[in-house]
Amino acid sequence: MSPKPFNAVISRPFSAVRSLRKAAKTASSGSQGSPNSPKYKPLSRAQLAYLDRAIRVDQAGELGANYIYAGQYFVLANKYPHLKPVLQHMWDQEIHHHNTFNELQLQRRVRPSLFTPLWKLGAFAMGSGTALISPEAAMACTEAVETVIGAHYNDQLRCLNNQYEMESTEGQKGQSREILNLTSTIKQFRDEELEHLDTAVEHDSHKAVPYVMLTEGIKLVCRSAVWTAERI
Amino acid sequence: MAFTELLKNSGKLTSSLKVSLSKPLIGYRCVRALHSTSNLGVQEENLETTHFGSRTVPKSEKEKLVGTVFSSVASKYDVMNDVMSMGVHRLWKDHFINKLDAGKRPNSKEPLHFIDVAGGSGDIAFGLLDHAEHKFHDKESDMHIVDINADMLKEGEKRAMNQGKYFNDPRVKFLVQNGETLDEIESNSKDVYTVSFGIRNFTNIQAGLNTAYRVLKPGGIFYCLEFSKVNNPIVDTVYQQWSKVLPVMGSLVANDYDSYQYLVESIQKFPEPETFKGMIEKAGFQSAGYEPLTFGVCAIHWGIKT
Amino acid sequence: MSRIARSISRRLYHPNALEHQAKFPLFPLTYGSDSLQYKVLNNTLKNHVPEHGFNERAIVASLNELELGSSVLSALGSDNSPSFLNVAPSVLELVKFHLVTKRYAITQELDSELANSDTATYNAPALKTLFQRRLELNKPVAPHLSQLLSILSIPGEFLVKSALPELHRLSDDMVYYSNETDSPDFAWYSKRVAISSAFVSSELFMAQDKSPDYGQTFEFAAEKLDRVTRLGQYYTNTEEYLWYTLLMSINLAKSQLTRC
Repeated sequence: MSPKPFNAVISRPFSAVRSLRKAAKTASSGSQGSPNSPKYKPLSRAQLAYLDRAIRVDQAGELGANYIYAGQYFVLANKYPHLKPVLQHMWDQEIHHHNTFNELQLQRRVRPSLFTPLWKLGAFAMGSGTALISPEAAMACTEAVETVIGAHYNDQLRCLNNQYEMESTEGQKGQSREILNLTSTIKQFRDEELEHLDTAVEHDSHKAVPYVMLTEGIKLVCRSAVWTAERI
Repeated sequence: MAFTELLKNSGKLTSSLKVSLSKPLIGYRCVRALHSTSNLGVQEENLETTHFGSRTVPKSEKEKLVGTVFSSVASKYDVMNDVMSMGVHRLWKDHFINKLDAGKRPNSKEPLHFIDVAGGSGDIAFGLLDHAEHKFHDKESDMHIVDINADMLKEGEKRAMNQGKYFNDPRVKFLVQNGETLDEIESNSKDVYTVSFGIRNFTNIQAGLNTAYRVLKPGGIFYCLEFSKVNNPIVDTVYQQWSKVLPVMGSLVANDYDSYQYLVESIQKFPEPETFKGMIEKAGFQSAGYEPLTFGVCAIHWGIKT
Repeated sequence: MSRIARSISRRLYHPNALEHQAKFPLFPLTYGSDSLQYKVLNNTLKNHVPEHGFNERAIVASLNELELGSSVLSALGSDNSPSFLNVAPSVLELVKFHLVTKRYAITQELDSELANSDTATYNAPALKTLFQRRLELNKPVAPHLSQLLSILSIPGEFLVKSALPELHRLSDDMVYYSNETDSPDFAWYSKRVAISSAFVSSELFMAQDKSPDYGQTFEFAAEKLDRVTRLGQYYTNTEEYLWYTLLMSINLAKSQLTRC
């Protein structure tokens, strides 16, 4: 697995200049990044538009995940001490994902989803709400959410692999480091999300009481949220 | 899944990535077309061929065939356009003229030299001159109206005579010319080259564009109004249905099924806007661009000679 | 309709410039600095707009000077749609050219500075500096600012497709290139809207300003910008406060529930 492209930044306020500096640094330390090396031909408008949507929806999704775990942790951590480290671990990973995409969003100058306050509130309500029903329901919620996110990341990976083969000014074909970095980030995140899915199943998500209704309902909510966050 | 969604929604600019959505017009017509090709008795394999609607015909034939179509519709040209576009073509032409916004400005030195190719009926040519006169009090700029079809040109002259303007006017010259060569037009002599609903009938479109580049002065502009590809799937469905009805309408209104069928098929054969833009650039024009009108039923294309 | 929707949901992904070529170096202008249009419009803006204002006369004067014909006017306007309410397409292009080139001018040197200097020593300017630099660039055309602003604010395609997106790009650039902290959530929008409104009101002020060297405009702008950036902070603070209250009240409710 390739190294993480960005260091985790836990502090809240972001400076674009800082990420700019970091971008310049990573680019110039790379073998292809110097200003005189061959460049790739411009990305088409459709390609740019897809990247724009991908970053926005992933950022919104990770924000949602972050707040879902926050809700679960808030309700469950003190009542069920054995779940605390599990939740803490997953939540930390989600915070890292969220920060990574926040940084990408600012660095690549993509606008965030207009409904971020709504996603925060909705995700927190979903996390704490299912946790209030039972720990199993919370795990079922995790299972449903991570299923949707995993499939969504897979779609993105497929597209990034297929559609971003660019021709460089010297006639070679390939993918730029930027796209490769994004792909490896998404790949890593997808694996972690699927790990969360397994964790949720291990912790009896299937024993949640209205299991089918709960998971299918949440999946539906997640898919429509993805659809909306891509666009607005 | 999201990507196909995106491709569907992001319209004209994605056409480089877009899988062609347009279907062949109707299946049986191809069979019919093949049949009629053999009827023409053109069997030689080594002849260079081109499209006449969905028929593949030798290049030398297309000119003649197009000639027949337009000779047969010349007298009913206006009715035909109104039928085909449900009257919208008037709005397109108005927009075309307003967008071009050409004319000698009051404090400008040189008058303009226009050429309107395939403009036999004269509506664009007269419209351009009227616009220049009303807006800029330009009564100096001159106009060449050029058409390969003498019958169409006569329509234009008739119209000029009826409106009592631009007939026997030294500023306006009617000329029978092949748009692909424009033999009698000097190189680097024109400021504005317009062609509206004509370029798709050229046997060799690229040759026509190259000639446009030749006759224009540096700083001159190529401006083209032509049918294009609809970019909205819903509108496209409606449009495809409309294309099927058109020849029938034609046979009712003008008693001429075949000519209308040719027009519909020639629209289908015309290159996608991105491709056509590439051809304009290939001819040497700079800053080529296009603006789709009415969901892309029609488009204005332009290029600048620098 | 779909075109309007597209231009509102504008695509802003900026690929890394060290690896990717840009399609249009002066986006959204579709021509580079070596083109005929650039030559004409640049000359117009520099030499003739201060005298004639933003109108066709300025462009024609420039064309006469460069010994070009009126047909170039059509070439210039080809990217814009004619409108009954607004000025000719070529003049709209001149206005767009003014907005876009001035926007690039405030960050041009920053880009090269960033590329050349050691990134550790690079010091980003303050938002206020960029803001003032942009207003400075308005000085030569200041007598015609009210005319410019009226062209920009006439409702129609140009407003939606060019004027508003360009204003947004300006404030986006100012935030991106300055040392201002940016937020990845809703405050992203409120900050840009605030800066845009500060800029528009400063321009309106400048259009009326009679003070020597537009001193009052710069005072006004500094104060206005200060006020709106504080407003932006209010949003973030309010949101944090609301979360705190929400969690506190849920905790309180829980403890009340367990007690009874």
